[in-house]
Amino acid sequence: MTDYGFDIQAEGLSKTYFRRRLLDVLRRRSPEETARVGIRSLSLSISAGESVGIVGPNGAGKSTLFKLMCGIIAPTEGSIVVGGWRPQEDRRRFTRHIGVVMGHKNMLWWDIPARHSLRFCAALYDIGDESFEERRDYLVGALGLSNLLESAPKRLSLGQRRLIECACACLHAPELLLLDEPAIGLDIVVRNRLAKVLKHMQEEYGTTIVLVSHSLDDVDMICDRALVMKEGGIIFDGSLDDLRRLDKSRGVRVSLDGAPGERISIKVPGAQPQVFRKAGDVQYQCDVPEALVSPVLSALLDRYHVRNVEIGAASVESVLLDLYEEEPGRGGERPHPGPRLETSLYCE
Amino acid sequence: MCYGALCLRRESEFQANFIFGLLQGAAPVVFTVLFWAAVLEDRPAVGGWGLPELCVHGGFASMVIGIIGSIIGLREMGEAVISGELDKYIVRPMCPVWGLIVEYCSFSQIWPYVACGVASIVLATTRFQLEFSLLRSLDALFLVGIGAACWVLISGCVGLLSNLTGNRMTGLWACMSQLEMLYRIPVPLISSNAVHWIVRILAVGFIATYPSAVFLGKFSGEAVVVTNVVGVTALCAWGVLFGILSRACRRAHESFGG
Repeated sequence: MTDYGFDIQAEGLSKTYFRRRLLDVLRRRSPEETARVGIRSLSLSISAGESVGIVGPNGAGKSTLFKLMCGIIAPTEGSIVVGGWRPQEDRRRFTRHIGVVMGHKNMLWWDIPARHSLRFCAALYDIGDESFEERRDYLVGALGLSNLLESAPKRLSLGQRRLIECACACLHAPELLLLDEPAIGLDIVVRNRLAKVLKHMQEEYGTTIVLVSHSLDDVDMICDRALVMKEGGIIFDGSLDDLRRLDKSRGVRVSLDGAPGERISIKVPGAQPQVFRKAGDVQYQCDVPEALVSPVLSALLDRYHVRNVEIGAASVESVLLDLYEEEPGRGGERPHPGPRLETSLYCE
Repeated sequence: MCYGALCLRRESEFQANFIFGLLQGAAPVVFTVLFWAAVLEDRPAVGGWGLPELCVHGGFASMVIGIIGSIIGLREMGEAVISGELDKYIVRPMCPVWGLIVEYCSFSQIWPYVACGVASIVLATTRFQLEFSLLRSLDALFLVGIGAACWVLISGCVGLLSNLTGNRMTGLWACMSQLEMLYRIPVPLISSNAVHWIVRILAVGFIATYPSAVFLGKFSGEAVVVTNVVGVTALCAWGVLFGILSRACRRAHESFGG
């Protein structure tokens, strides 16, 4: 363990993928013409013991950042230091302190029972017999692996393999856990179990957790902080509550008698119509700007027989959608949102 | 130790390989002997190599082919790079190339060839009453080790080229497979100068010709020393090249597959 604890410091980090084929050489195309930027001038700081979720649209650079942290690839420019190590240059020593799960890639030995993969990891990370048995028993119990260890991964489902991979990654109590879509193929019960194990790792061992996921529920369950990436840069860095507060909207859900149709449009003087979409048998839902909640509810109460009203935070997905669809190249602060603009038909 | 246990564990999952492996190991030696017996039906020797010497040569060739065949994992390097499977070794404190070799290593490829090779050498020595020397035998085994190690490094270099180019290098592997013909023929029987240079650079001669020549006492004392020195030099040269390519690949690795 280094004196630094396991923090992550990246400064001006860039990764460009150059692709040159024989045809490109014959046509005298420069490498820059065929280059694709994965990450551009990214700087970030993650403290030891923190849990951070990285989200973003496809092609945002999440996996590139993940691989730079793991030491799988080298940066084109800038630097990344993880726990005092340079991940690629110090790979052999660095990897002793990290656990990695890559949801899209198989991390186990395919043909032999899974328990041998666990035993192999114990030998690889020099885990003593006593520690191995204690941690193995905890992970097997916590993740419900007891029926899976005698089967070869080729006979297990995707979700079951992911669970065993998570167990292998946690077995040596790493200072840093890097997880790329670890919950692929997992049902909600097992996801909860995995979240508890990760929280346990964080509390018991001070493990820093970096989670890349498309599922905001996973990020919400496991992480204290979210990084939203887009086009190779970070466009938001803060807690999920801060993310929700970006959108000055409220999620309004109403139950109406005599369900009037698939959509209800409520016109409010001086603002765009607010469209409620059907979210159940009698439920309708809309993210309404905070300032319009009261007049919209008044209009609903005047027009329909309202059985129930729920007002909560706007969905994080809607905030993210706005962030993803914002003008490219605008990093940093998000502009204050105006009233929602939607076109719709009136329903009688 | 743990790597070895994993290999054995994996092998035991495929019991049928045991039987087919035995047949696979015996076949090249048997067919080599039959071939040379047919060639030498109306003459005592070819290029100074009679049937007893060629049986010994075939035995050494079989041993090294078995050892080289077990490192089939290196041929999977291209596929592992293209599919992104190499990453699971890179994020662990282990050598990725060694991890590939271990994962795909097949003991069923080693033991039948080695067993049949040794049997061929012992049978030829006893049947034809060839002169046996323990010192020459040990030196021959040392040269076999040199030959096998060189080919492991050469295969590793080709595999690492996959990483550098993002290409499976299947064409290059196919060319290397054709070089197998050079294992099975004593080098002095090849008249082409160009092939002689290929033999030296690719250390093909160390696979069977030089070990069997040393074992049979065909080399003088000075030639034996020179052969050993050349072998070690070739091994070091390929080792240095492998190291250079490894470093280059580390920087160039792109991790395909998302």
